[in-house]
Amino acid sequence: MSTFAIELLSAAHDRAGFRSGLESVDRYFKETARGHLEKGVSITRVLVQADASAPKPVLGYFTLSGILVEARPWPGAPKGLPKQPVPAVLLGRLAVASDHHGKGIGSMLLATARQLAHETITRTGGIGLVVDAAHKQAAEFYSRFGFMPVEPGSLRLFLPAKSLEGGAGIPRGQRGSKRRCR
Amino acid sequence: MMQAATMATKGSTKKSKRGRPAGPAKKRINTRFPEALAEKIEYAAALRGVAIASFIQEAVAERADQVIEAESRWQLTRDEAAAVAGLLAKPPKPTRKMLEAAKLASRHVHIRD
Repeated sequence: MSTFAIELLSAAHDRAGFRSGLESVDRYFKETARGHLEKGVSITRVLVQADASAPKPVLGYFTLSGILVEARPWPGAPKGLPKQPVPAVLLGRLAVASDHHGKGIGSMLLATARQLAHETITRTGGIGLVVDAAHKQAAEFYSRFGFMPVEPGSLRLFLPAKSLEGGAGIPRGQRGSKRRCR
Repeated sequence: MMQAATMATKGSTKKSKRGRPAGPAKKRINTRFPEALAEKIEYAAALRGVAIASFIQEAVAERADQVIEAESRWQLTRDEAAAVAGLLAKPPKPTRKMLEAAKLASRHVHIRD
């Protein structure tokens, strides 16, 4: 049984107790994330200890939604992308509780977000994963995972759909299995 | 020191004071501004010759549109489009750090939904 679980944000999670050290991100989590999930605006998932009981302390969270990308023209695009907006997945927020920094929680959240984005794109289409970094330091974090700033110094970074493929798969299910795909 | 300011006023403003955006202002949002900012807003509104409420409403509406837009639609500039197109043409391989993260997550995390 694995140590941590990724769950859809629900009443079982201790939203009020979550502190990442960045107020805007904490406020979104406390006040808006659940409403957005219920309305289908975006989906927030949390990382908790697998054996935690409600109210479960939240070690970190991330929010995914759809975004439409529009450009006219697309200079140098493969085979020419349409003028119509094309879909992509947006990782709008990712945060780790401040007392759990430096334990690889951010990496595990990001790997999970990447896998879910890849699944979404294989099912419904999309050109890649867009990420909005909260600040320069966060942008550097994403850069290390291969995300490319769309302009030098930009806080919006991008990873094309093809780059979401590969790597070990994160298991699904109530307990998680020991099965690994390497 | 803080000074109270009111962003919207009650009642219909259809044939309203000059400069006020059309449509009834029904919802009141009370917020406090630092004194220096409140004075700056009053001065800027006076320069434009519009009511303070309308000055604030216009500025805030524009900012709100930007924020909402940024989370649902991404209009690329020419340079951004070229960068994205370049990445699509030559997608980078997952970095070692990403592969390590996936391995770590595959060992320690399971997805419950």
